[in-house]
Amino acid sequence: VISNFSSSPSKTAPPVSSARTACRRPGAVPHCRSASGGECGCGGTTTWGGLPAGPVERSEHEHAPWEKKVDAILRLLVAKKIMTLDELRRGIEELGPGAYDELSYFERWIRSIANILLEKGVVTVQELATAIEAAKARRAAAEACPKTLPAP
Amino acid sequence: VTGPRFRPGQAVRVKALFPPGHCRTPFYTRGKRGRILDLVDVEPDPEERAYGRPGLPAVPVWRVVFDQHELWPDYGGPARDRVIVGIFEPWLEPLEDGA
Repeated sequence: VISNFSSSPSKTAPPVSSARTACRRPGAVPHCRSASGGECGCGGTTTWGGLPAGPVERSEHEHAPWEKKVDAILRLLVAKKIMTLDELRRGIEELGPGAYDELSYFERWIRSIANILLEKGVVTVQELATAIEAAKARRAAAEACPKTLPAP
Repeated sequence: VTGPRFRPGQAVRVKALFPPGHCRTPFYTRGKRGRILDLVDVEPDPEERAYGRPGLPAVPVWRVVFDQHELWPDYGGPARDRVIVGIFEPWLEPLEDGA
């Protein structure tokens, strides 16, 4: 999804021919390794190509409403020049070695977005904590009486 | 600001640097030899923009062609197999042909 509104290097043409496929699959992959096997220090998620991995899962899936909302939030933040895609990427890298194993694609996005907005002072920890609790309460209420939907 | 340093067909090497922080150069290309295909664009530097700075002056981005055998010593495919990677100019250094 990032490539939809990123200008580079995603313009790059696909490999002329490639037996190896860039590793994007969540799995037991080291966070970041240089070709020689040592720590490379550079952010991990851009540097996974060629590391051992299983087959690439190509199946399409429907996005959940919350995932679409995350995408919309990011697009707005970028359009309003509050943050950049490069900051999003850096924020994902800074989630740490386990993030790719433990979090889904849009979970990584929203965690990165939250951290970047905290860093920039757009939101405060208290505001975020309060909003998360309020969202949890709304969900609990909706699950308690699922038939209570607004009239059409 | 000087213009783009390279020309299509020119032999280059990706710098073998492994800094902390955000960068877009895949590790498997670092220190490897390739050839300039063409100029993709001139863009604000993502290594600066990742930290909230403007990343100006903008940096040329080149498409660089690598032989798979150059990138992967144990590559088992045909010798003609190549891969094209977009790389920001500060990561590239010119290489004498045949070097």
